[in-house]
Amino acid sequence: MPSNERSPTRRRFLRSTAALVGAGTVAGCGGSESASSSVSNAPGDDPPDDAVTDPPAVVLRAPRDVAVLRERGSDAESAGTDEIREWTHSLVADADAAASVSVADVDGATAARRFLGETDFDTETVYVERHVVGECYERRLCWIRWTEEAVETSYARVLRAADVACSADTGVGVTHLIRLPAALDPDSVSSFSSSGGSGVCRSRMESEDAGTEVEP
Amino acid sequence: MTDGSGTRFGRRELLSGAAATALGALAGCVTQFVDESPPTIDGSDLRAATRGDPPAVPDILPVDIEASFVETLRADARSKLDGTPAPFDEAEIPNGVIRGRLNDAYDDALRSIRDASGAPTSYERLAHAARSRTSAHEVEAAWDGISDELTAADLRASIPDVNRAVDGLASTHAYVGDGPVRAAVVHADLERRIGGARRWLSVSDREFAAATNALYLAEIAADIERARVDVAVASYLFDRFRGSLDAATDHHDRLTDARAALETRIHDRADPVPEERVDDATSLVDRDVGTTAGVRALEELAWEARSRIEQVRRAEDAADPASDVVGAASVLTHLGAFGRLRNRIEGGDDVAVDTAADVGELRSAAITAVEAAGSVERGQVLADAIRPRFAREVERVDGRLDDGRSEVRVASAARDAAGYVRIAALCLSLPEAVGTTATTLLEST
Repeated sequence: MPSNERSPTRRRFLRSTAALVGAGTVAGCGGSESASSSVSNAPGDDPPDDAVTDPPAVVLRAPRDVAVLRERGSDAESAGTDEIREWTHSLVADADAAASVSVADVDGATAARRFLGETDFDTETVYVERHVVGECYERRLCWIRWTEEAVETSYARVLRAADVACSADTGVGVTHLIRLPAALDPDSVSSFSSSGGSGVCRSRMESEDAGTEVEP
Repeated sequence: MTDGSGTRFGRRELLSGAAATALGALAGCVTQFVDESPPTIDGSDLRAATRGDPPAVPDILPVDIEASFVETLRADARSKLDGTPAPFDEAEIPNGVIRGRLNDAYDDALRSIRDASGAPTSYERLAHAARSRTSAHEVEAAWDGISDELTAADLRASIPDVNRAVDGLASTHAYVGDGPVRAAVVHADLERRIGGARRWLSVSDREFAAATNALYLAEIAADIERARVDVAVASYLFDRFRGSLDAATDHHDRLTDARAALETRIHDRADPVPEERVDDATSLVDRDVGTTAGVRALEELAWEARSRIEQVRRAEDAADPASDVVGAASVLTHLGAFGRLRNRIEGGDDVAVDTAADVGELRSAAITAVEAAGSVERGQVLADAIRPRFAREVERVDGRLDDGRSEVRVASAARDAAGYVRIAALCLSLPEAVGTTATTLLEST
């Protein structure tokens, strides 16, 4: 396939890749995409009625300058370690796109590949969202909700145990791969939002084991 | 706790989600239109204008506090610290956030232990000693949590005993006193501690569930310790105060009556203060004047007065009559300051800032007013309870003006210097407000 021509599948994933490296996913002034959230969706609040609080998910931690997921064969430079942003997001919506994703050699990579491979893209979509968080914290998914046009997430930031060696001044990238029970069209999803706060997820008080994080 | 960017969150902030952050908020979308050459003041001139010690007005309480009691609290703090290897290194606590937070608590405990012997009044020394014990307890509890010697269940189980101690104190607390003004000040302190202890002990199931690591455990432990300290200090102060009285009178009914009378007086005088914060501060004066330092101070006083009036309204159950009376004196001070400053501006004084010398004059006026408020005809004990916070604010305004800038916009300096105007107006109004409050107390039955 010529490098300057992209099949619909590749284009669909490129949209994702761009998101993963933070290119053009968050609208600036006058931008066409919306990206907003509300502090009312803090982890201490009840999840919205239409939110899923415990979706199948895999979580990867990696140094903040490592792009954990990228399109296979893409130019490493353009994939951009120098353009890692605080928040990136994308959708993997079909098997070809999933097959074109390479996972960096970090702990949990095998689980992530398996997760993508086991997804039934006829009825499911994988939402990939990455945040930069302090090394001494976990970022736990409280809930996710979606429509054909929008995806919204809420997270809790939780301090890791005292015996975990980490620096207060270092950030890491935490990437969530979240399987949604809906076949979304990435071209139709134009709005992404994510809120986060310190504390615990209200819906997770009795179930803390979802989205088990894979330590590096 | 910091998030790596230096932001510090408390346990309750964490649990309430008040520290929630929203991603995707788009910054940088506002185009700022800036005057090409706004007038400025030389930073060194401004520093010179704010030079000189701010007035030192220590906190006092009209109760004889023994050095031995303060020393007991300090000794408790030292003992708690000695039981840990603090300050912690990476081997002891690998998690950098937890280590940093606990070493901050350790430093705070040491500083408080030191200040508990060096502060100018026994009341301030007591405050530092109390703080040293809670900070040291946080360090100790965290280390116990790390060592698996303290659990959330342990903390939960410890609360009923402290609650019983609070209940016991509340049931024996009586509004005894000799003079009603002194009684109001002392019992306001006791009410604050009893109420504070109850609040510190209100740890929810969610908070316990969230205590998944040693730091969160320590924060809950520190709250419970604050309650213990509040009870211990309040019990001590009550015993000392009661023991000092030759002939004790119960002032509860008098305080309650005075509270009602003061509330009426406040409402009678509140009309000139707008119900909401105004969009245009100059609308507060019946005169064509710009948004000068004086007008800004007037706006701040109006807002503070209205907020305090609402607090008085909310406290209608009169559960803490002594605190309500002291609070009423503060409201009257703000109302008086608002009226005084408004009259001044409407009388032709712009109270404006154009130069560093203007700032210096406003600062001098504030300091003079703070000092003059140290002696009042009636209600001295009450004035002594309120005045220190105004004095401390002079230093805060100094800090805002003296921030190392080489040049400061006049508008910025005026905004900060409004703090001096506000302090002066409040201190000039304090004698009348505490006099009114004292008279109301004496005339109540």
